[in-house]
Amino acid sequence: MNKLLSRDNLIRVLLLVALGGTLYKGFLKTPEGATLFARQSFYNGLVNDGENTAIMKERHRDVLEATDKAIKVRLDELRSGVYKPAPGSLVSEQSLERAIRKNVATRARAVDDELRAAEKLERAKRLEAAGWRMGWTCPPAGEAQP
Amino acid sequence: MSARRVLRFVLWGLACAVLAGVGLLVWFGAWHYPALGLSGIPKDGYRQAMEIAARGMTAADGLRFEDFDFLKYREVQRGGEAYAWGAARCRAADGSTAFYWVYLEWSKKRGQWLRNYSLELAAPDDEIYFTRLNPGQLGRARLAAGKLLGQLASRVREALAAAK
Repeated sequence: MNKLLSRDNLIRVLLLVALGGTLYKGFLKTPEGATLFARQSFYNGLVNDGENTAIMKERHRDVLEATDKAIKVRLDELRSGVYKPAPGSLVSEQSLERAIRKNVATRARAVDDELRAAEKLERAKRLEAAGWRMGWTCPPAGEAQP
Repeated sequence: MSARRVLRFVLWGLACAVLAGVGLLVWFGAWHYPALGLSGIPKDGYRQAMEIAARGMTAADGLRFEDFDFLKYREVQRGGEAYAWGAARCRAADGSTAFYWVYLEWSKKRGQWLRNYSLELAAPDDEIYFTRLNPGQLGRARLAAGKLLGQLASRVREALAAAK
């Protein structure tokens, strides 16, 4: 009795409990564990991530569109003489025209990013609606289902 | 006092000064400036917060704020994040138009709007005017450093003007 309830054994048990708790917490971080024991918070996180990404990509497109407008207004004002670049400035009619074209290229990608972000959000909502669970085995090869 | 002790004293002093400077910079950039004058404005008061932010940062750059060219507010359905952004149309001293990007994020932790990445669009030191050779490596470095320090100076000017 006395041998079983020693101070060392108590510490061993506490350590084992702490280890078990750590393992459980870690398991809850995996998609397998989260979709098993913390379903709602898992889906909330998924949808929240999708929403934030979609907003971010919309903003990235907006900043490019606003830049496009700023460049075009600057070009107009340079041509009409309202805007006079400082001596040695990088701003000129040629550099403004190039800037417009570069912005078009960047914006094309931003529009695509926005579409992909919308798909990501849609997918998160679809997974939640389907009550998706991360399985223990690998799905059969081929097109991933959800 | 020996020369060694004097040197040690000076070096410690220098290290403390550098540390204090870095601390001050972090405090200003990450805590003080983003929140300046925006406390107490609720989430749906984003229009008011955007206008306060836009007026302050454009005035510090010598621009006269006219109106928002566009202004957006977005919030997530789940999680509580909210964002407001827009382009402010301003008049420069020489009469030309300037557009200033203003971006605020709602801080859940502090329960208020915070300034985020904001700057003048298509400013003369913008990368969008660069070519492969012009400006050269040194010129690029100079422009980047100038932009960074210029922004910091403008933020400090704004904070000092707000403190008055």
